Amino acid sequence: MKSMAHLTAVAERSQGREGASAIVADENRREVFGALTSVELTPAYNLADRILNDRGEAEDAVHEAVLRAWTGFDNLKDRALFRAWFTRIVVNICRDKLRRRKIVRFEPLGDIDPPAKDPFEHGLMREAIGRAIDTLSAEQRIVVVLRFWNDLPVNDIARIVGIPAGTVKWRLHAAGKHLRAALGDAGWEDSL
Amino acid sequence: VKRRPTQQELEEQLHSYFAGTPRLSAPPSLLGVLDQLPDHPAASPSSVRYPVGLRLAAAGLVAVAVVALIGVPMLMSKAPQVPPVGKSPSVGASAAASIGHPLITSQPSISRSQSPIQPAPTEIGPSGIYVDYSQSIRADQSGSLTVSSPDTLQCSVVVHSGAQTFQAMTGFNVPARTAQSVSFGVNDSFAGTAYLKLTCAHANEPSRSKDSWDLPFTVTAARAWSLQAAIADTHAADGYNFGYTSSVDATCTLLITYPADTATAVAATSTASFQAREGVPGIVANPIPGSPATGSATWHTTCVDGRGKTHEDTGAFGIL
Repeated sequence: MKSMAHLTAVAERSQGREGASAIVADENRREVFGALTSVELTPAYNLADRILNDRGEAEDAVHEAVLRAWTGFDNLKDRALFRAWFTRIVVNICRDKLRRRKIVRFEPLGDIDPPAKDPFEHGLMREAIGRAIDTLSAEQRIVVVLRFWNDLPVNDIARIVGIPAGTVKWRLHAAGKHLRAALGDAGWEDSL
Repeated sequence: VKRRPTQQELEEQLHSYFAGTPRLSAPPSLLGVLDQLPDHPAASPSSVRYPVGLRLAAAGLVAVAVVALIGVPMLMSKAPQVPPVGKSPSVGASAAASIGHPLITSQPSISRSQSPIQPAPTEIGPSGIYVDYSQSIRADQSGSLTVSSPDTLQCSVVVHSGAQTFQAMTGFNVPARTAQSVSFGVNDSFAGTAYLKLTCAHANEPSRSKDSWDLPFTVTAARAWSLQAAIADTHAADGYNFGYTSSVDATCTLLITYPADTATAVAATSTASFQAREGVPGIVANPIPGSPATGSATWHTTCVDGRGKTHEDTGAFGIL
């Protein structure tokens, strides 16, 4: 890592004192941003994976989120709010990706056949729930993941998604109604 | 009897479902992003403060520019030049087939080593817009289109054959220096040449830079669905093997109905899931956990292919 003094000297020689200050400030901003972002990458990747149910797309989403966050980093006045701010960017990108999927349903299949499941195991229930979650709208899916995977309270979800708490509750209610109907159609009693 | 889970049951299952999903580690390519950040992120307008005099001067310059933009064409009594729209498909075809360019040439790019689609993009038009797309797809499968540019773009895509339109997608945003991909497809019954009509405008100057291209691609006939499957007659204690070969990739559910128990007259069922790969024989091996009776059993598969279409098949086997 180059020292600030070294950076300052190099910059002063090449660009004058004003340019040097800009470079040092940029280097400092980069370090702060890197420190804040590095701890959020794995949680953000997991969140995006739960929302998108696609690791490749999740990776793309977080990649894009990092670039967007870096571009807008100067707009974030309170660094303590970085996590919520960054999570919101990730969620917004995931929402865009989910909406874009409506154009074509494209689900790449895995390379390896999963091992056959015992027909009476609990795994069937997981599959049914996973399939039901896949049928939720982008908005419903996001609040469901934030509520049941991230274990976030409604007010925190509202802040991240940028909607009123009442709307979060309504979307959770609508998602629950949809999921219960889907699981009922899938033979809930038989699967228990 | 089917019933809906209660709200409490649903919440318990959702918590259990998400608790059971694996915790992933961020892939190395994401960690590497932090080392490849651009040097100077664009400062937001709100974070930049100009002296009053400079602001007034800037406002004056804007006013002059507006007058020039509006007034000059009027004075010349000549319509502004519109870039060509709807170029011949052959332009896109030859360019796509023969020219290869780096992703971004004018500005530093950020590589994504594990991107699901590795673009080998081709520049189209004079605007520094790069595309890479599937030039041949099967009618029952999807292709992908990747667009990138040094500038932020707003694009739309229409998938058509000339005679019919298969899909239309508006509001497809392409951030600067970030390759954006979408998947596309046609109707299952179509075969021949189709086109991706891509229209893009530079987000900041839409009227100046709007342009459109027809990118041709070949569609081969959809593969007819067929599933060859069987379960050999077996003794209850020996278990069974469900062997199958599918003509298309599909996610399938297998339902087996055992002979009814002579004492209760109730038939037992079991289910299993498998993923069929196109033309690859597979086996679902499973012991029969205490089949209640001997006699004729049936199997029933419900498969969903990559485009969301459902196919069903049925057969029988004996439990001795």
